[in-house]
Amino acid sequence: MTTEDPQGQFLPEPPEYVELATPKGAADGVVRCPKCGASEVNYDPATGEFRCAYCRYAWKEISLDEAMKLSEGIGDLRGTTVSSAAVDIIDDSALVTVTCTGCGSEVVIDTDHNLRARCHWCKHELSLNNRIPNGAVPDGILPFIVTKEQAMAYINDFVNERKTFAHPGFASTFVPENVMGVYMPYMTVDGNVDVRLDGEGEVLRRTVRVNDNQTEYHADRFAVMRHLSMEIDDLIVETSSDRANIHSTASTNNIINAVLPFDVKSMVRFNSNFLGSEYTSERRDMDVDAAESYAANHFMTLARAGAQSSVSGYDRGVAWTSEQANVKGSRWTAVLLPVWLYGFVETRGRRQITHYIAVNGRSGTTMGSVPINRTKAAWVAWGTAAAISAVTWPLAIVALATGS
Amino acid sequence: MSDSSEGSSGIALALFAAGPATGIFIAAWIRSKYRNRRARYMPERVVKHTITAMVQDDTFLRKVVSRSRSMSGRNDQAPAQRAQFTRTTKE
Repeated sequence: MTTEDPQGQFLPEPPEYVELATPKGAADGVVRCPKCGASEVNYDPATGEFRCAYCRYAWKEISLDEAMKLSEGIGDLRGTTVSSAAVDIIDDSALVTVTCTGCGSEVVIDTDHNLRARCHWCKHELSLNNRIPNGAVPDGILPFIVTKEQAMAYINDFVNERKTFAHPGFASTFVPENVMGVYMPYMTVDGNVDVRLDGEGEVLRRTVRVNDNQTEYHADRFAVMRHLSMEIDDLIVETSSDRANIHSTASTNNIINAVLPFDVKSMVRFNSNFLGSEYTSERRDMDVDAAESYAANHFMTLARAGAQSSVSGYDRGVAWTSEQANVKGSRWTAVLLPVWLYGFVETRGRRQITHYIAVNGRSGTTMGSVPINRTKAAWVAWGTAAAISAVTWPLAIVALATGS
Repeated sequence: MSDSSEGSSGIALALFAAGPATGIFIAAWIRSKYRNRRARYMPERVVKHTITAMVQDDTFLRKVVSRSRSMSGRNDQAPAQRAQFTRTTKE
């Protein structure tokens, strides 16, 4: 977009956000060991370090929170500040061509699934570590700590507690080994926000017993207003449009949402060697503009919870009718977060529902949706109802007969 | 109708409802334990946030009489449930 200046010249429209430069990461292409120059580098989740496969030299990536001062100055935020990799996506193509700096050949990386590839000719590992226009490379990453074996154990325990009424198709095909380590795209959001809440509240003054079954509650009703200024640190927002709708009827996205939060203060500068061969990654396809409504929704939730103690005197409750958030400043950082995922597709007539069991790759928090054997559940629920009714209904008839 | 007949009809109603209510409770319990539909991210519990200022204004409107234990439309205990009117602006 352009604007016309007083001299009649067209000038570029000023950006709607301020870009916060992310420290330069490892160069795209071959990432070499800083000591011996070998390109075979492995990530060790136990130590959180990279290790050269040849000389065993170990090193760590820089902490993004410290390097970019992401925990500081939230109260001073004005406008929208966006880190280098969180800027708008300008090219939706998943395939990115990288020139191998080892032999000069061109290698294509499918960024929908991974950010690394091996050069077919010289066998060097090639990786994407800096921003590319399709949103696949984030600013930071939180590496997996929970191992696949631990994730399998968590999922197994979760399912074992829910075997009785599990869908037979799920129970017969359940193989915890099929769990996949996925780095999922999110943004962390800091907010300097004002929220105004309006509603009505009631305070009970007295109760009057009308008869054996009815009571009247006499109360005073008030107009209630709260205006909060808040500083919010590290709210997490989904930036994959497939996952952001937690009310989806096609997949249980709320399950993945429920394993949040993550210790995002520990995130490090992105390096695609974290992905290794064991993990895949999903690509961000939402810009800050699209994610803002989700963040604003969470800001209002935080304000409502924050106002709760101030309305505790309204013992008959408060009905909030209006919520108005004014985002004075926000700071957005793109990050990949580690989730172990187990999926099962249930077919119900023409509908398919993907059920997930998710394990937080840092804390081990586990949540899941196990499809139900509806016939068995109905038999048990209504069988119990019938058995109880067989006893209680004759007693009810007797009670009616003796009472009349 | 006498008090005793009202009491026995109340007991009869409870006995009639006991079976179906148990069935509904079991079905709801299974659905809740297996499907976890209400599971979600709860920023109000886990996100660090500081309230730097809060202005309060409470104005008496009127006296009310109700047959309900709590006020109609109460939503103060469900912070994730949005109000009828919401608006977000940016500076």
